[in-house]
Amino acid sequence: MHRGEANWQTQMPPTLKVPLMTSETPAKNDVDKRIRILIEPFNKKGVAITDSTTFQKDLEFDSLTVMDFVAEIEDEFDIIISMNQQAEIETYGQLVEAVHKLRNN
Amino acid sequence: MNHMTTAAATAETSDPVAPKGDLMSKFDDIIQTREALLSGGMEDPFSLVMEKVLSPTRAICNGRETILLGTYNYMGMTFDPDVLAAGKQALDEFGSGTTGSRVLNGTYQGHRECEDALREFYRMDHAMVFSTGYQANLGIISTLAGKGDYIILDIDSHASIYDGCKMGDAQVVPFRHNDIEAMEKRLKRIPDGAGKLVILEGVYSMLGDVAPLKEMVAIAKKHGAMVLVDEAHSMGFIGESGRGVAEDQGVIDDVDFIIGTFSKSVGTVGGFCVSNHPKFDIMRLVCRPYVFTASLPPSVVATAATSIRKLMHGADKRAHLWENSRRLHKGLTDLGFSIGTDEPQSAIVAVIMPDLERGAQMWGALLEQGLYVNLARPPATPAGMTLLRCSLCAEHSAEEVEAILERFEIAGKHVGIIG
Repeated sequence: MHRGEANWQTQMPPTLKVPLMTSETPAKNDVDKRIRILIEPFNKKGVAITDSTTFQKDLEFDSLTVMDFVAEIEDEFDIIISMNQQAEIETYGQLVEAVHKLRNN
Repeated sequence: MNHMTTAAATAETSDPVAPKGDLMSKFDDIIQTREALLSGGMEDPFSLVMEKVLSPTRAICNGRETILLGTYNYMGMTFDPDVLAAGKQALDEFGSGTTGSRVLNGTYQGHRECEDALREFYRMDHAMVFSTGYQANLGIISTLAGKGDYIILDIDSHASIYDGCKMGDAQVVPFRHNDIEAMEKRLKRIPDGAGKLVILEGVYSMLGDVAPLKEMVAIAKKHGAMVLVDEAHSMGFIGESGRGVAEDQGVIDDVDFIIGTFSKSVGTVGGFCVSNHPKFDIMRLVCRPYVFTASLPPSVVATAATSIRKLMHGADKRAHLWENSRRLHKGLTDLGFSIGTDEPQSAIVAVIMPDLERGAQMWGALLEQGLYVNLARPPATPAGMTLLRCSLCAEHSAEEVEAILERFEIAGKHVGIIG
């Protein structure tokens, strides 16, 4: 299920992305804002974070950091991000998208 | 080899050991780390050969008599005369192997007797023997928790548990090691109606620490989850009759499935699951790692059954093993080593090394002194630690433990880990 969602996201033509995002903007902006605060202590090198920032390569998160960071997000939004779902999330943008969707479920 | 040299010659900018399309190139980092470690002339910690094994606690390594402090032979059953006699008799009477699956031609009288011994040992209704402990976790977990179900597990769980989770395709939700509150939070968030399996270990083998099973099992039950506990490193030793941490903490009757192994306290090889679930026996038909592999050889199940029955009456050995664990823990702490747990909690005493390089040096220095311990490093270890894991045996004498401490002192000073 989540695999499918990730594909949908990456296969979306760029032109379609704009109107869809506009309709979701307020809630998604809120998710983005709160995750940016949470990521701060984990972003030890002060990397500038964009939607395409990767956790493994750009932020150099190891498995322990991932666990702690994910736990913070889960507690903040009262959701579960299973390891299966985590495996599909490589970039910051994908994380915001996934958390936004999990909140709506 | 040919295409590798060609690639190296033609592609100057790319990594010479990683030609395009080589599926092995993903291991280059590990190969380089290993080569760097060995180039200093030290022995490879991961390919030691025991030339002769003299007893549960002694072997000849590199021509030198060595004290074994890195095996899982907690109860020292590998040379027990009754165990050996049972194995030899089964070898003579039933042959060297079954050449078949448990569900076809691979169930002999000995396999049944081994399962009977387990049922008696654990005082449970059902027992199922697998060919290894790894397969027991792989089989039971993947068969119990499938697509749409949720597995809530400790982040430091053994590889066989994670592999079982992956094979079954359940949603896997880890929580911080031994964190009761983190576990409950996650249980609460699981969608209504979804199947839930909580997986815990009695003793976590890397640091040798014990799980708060009493609290965790109660919380799991409160939230309607089934509970599986892996007691691989506690069987035979922890608990009044050696049934593990769940027995010790008084919650064994609330545990739905206990997974264990014959390759530690029992002293041979094999794995098992015991349960009181009334439908448990159907697992024999639906559990693929049980069905699609050959059963254990008759000599192995005979040694296991004999050993398990003797472990029921192993109270004196258990008491001596606790003495050993306490003495080693205190001695190493007094010498200035940093230990994985503040108090001895099991037969494992994990000495924390400052880094992999000095850990490997220390390992080599100990081996030169005639002491074998286990070098453990990431990703097997939590928090990226390098550990020298000491696992004690009930057959280590008090004098041997003192000799072990002396060798640690000499090696530790030589490598510069203690002052």
